[in-house]
Amino acid sequence: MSLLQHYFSANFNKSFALHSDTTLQTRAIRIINIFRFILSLVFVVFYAYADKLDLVNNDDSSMFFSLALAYMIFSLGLLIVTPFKSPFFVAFHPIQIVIDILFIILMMHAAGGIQSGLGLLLIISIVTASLVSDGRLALFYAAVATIGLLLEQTYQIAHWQLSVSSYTQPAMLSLSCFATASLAYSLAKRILQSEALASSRDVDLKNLAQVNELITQEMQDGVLVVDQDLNIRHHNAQAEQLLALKFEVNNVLNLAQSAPEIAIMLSEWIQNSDYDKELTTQINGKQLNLRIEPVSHQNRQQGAVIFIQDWSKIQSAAQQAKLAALGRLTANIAHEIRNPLSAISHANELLQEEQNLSTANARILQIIADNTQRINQIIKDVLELNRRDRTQQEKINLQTFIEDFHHQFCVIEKIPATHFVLNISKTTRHFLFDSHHLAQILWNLCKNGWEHSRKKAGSLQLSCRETYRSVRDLTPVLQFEVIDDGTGIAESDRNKLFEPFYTTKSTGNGLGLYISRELAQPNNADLSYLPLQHGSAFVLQVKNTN
Amino acid sequence: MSQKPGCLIVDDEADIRELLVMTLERMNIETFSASCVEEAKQMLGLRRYALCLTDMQMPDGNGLDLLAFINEHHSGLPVAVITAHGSADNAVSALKAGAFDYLSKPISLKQLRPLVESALKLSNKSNTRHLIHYKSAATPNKLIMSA
Repeated sequence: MSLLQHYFSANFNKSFALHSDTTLQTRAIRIINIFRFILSLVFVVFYAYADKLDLVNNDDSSMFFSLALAYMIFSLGLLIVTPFKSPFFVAFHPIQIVIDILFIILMMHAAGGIQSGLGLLLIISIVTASLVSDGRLALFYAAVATIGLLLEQTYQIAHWQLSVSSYTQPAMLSLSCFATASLAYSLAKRILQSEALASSRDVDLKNLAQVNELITQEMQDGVLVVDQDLNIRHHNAQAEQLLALKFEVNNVLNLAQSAPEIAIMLSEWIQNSDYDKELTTQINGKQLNLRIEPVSHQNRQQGAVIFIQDWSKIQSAAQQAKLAALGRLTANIAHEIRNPLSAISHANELLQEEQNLSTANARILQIIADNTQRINQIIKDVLELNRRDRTQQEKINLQTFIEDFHHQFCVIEKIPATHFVLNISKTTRHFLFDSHHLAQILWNLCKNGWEHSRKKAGSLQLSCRETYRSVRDLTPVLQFEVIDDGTGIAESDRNKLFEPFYTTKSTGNGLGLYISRELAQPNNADLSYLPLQHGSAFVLQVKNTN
Repeated sequence: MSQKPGCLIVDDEADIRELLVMTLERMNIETFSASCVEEAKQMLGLRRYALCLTDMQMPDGNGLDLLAFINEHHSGLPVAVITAHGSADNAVSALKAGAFDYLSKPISLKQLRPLVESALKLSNKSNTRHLIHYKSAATPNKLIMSA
């Protein structure tokens, strides 16, 4: 679709090329005008000296002077009028040329006819005029000049009673006029052809540039094109974003200034022709992967195309894929373990029912029972993860949900209600979440918190309030905070908190926080740890508020 | 006691089936077992049962298929479903299809015993008069051996 649009805009360029052609024509006309003015000036000066040198041998010198003056006024007038660039003057141009021809013939007449040699000026006029008019009117100008020349000669013959053979000279001049005109015509035609070819090439190039630009803009990677002076000739939006470049219109950025790290790598790459390994660098806190391709394969100095990948993004995508595959595998294993585990626990329970068991054996059976219970808990948790792709988000009433949760949690975990404090803001009424997921996440967090707390009044706190995502990101969120007054988590352990099977408890399976975070994600929520001065806080930020 | 109530156990895992049989025998309940849906269907034709305990997933079919079959041809027989997934979805769909109750793996005796007892009570109430017609169609011990 957008390619099509580009194609149409290319056609616009074609018409633009034609338009620029006419401006070229007006410029040529202006040059002719200046030439005409200089010529008339030369005539006037020539008259001033001709008088003294006695070059004009008949008494038409006053006529010559007045003609030269008139011609000068005419040329001056045109010189003033043409800058207005009206299309009228372009159309008027052939008439100007005819007037030119008439002036020259009249002045030639005043200067003594064909012998004065002024007739040769006709050829210059005809050539320039026909080039301006693309050769179309060249033969017409030649014809006008011929008629003028012959009429002038006829007048001379009639006036001075010359012999008819004196026609030879103007006839020769006329012939050369026609010859140059036809030459100019074919020349102009060729110029037109090459001009058309050039403009079509120009359009092709522009199309190609537009297509290139489109391709680079659609690319996932950032693309920079730099020339030999490290000026950035082309870039795409991704590159602009990754490198935080600030481009201004009509202002070429230099790589050395805008991204010195890349410039250094590029200059190293230019110097060592075997420097082909993948380059990585750290810019604006992003791990970037660079690939440099030379514009010309013979010489690396002629410029290069730099492809920039956001390595951290790729890594996190790979990590996601890996975790998803791991999740599927563990879910399958967990499911397969269930049957044998069920058999073990069932058999164990039957054994435990036996009368007259020795205390040692009873203890052994109890150990088996406890451990099968533990394995079963792991399986339950892992299978819960499998549910994360099937969220059923619903509108949850904050107040009732949290109060119900608080009541259930206190009853099941056998916690006095005074030890678990609720702190609910009244502004938010509803939000979107899978209620089962939310209960599980909060349960995990509260259970962890309670286990690590000092287990006295107000040890565990659950607060819900509306806030912003962070100081920089002003997205409104609903924030749940589970706060305990325990010893907190050592700094070295914090980055492993949300990893599966990471645990500090001998009885825990290390899946609680991992599952909580995995369940938060599909519900458009973030779970993070916040160290406090005394104790820890787990923060769940929900974006679907309304 | 003239007539022990019969119970049909359907599970493709031999060990679990055997354990279930042992548990129910301890409760003084006559048990018959089948390893797949087809076998269970055949055995349903041989005698009248007071309870059917079936696994959800079997090589030749689903616990829900058997449930539908029983509802159609042997209505009144309570069916308890053993779900392996531990997810509520399976249990809910079983209950919707007319199951008497469900058990989730790993099976605990604390859950199993009350379930069996209440099912038998229910069965006794509604079916005492019919039981006479289904006197000893097959010897239970022989069936356990063959399974």
